[in-house]
Amino acid sequence: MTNRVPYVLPIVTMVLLATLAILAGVHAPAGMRLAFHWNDNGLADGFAGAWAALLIPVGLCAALTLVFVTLSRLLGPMSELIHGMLVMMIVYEGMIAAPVFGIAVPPTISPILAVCGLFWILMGNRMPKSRPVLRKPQTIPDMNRAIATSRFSSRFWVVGGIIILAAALIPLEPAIRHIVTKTVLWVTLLVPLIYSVLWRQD
Amino acid sequence: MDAVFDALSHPTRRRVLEMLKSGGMTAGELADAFPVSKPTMSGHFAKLRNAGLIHAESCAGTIVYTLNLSVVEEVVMSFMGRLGLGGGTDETERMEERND
Repeated sequence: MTNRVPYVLPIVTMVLLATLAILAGVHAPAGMRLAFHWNDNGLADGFAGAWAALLIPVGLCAALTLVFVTLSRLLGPMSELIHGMLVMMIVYEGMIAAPVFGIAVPPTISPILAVCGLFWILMGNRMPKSRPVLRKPQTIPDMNRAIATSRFSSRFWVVGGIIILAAALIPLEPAIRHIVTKTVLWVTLLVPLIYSVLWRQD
Repeated sequence: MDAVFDALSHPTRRRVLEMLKSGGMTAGELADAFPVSKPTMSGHFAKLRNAGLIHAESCAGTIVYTLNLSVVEEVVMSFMGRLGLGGGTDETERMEERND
């Protein structure tokens, strides 16, 4: 049963995304260009023809599902990350399709960044459950280092995700949002790296 | 999630998880740290393993246990520890008493 869930939900989501894409594509005026990429301030900086933009989340969802299913075979179940990714794709499709239906997302908030924050939290929560395979007794210290680092990193990722989520939903100046998200990204990536290098078994 | 709450509801199992925070340990090393019989400890390990809170790997003929707690599970564990939940005997220990 648990093996079926990773495939069933992504397929249902992809059907939902494709339906929304077709609905929006049919309603889009000829020659309409839609945003498909936003910078870390939440401002659109990538545009494409309506059909191309609307179908990006469908393809991306299929590709990411394959990546997560492959990773879950190597690193163990990661259904919550797959669910997070699916929510992210639904919001992404909604963001792309919104202008076709005359829905304007307030420029003071960034739904895409909010979902990224949510995904960051899910990744952080799941992080301590990933570890290398123990092959020889001599590799126990390496495994302990990996586990200690992932436990330490996970807290940074969860707190970082909460900060990104807040920065996305609180009306902020784009420059401040940019500084907040960039700082969170660098801290959550660099601090665990330094911790891993300095870690010593007690 | 029921299995997680059940596994975290016993102080011995929470102590096992606390010990594993400092690194992987063999089943024997863990069992030696508790004044209970080996079958009882095996029952505790089984509950933790079934709840996905520890990871067991066979290495050179011994079982090495490592921590497998998500952030949320660790928060729940600390919370239950602070509340002092599950101070009594549970099914694992009652089975041992019956066998005695």
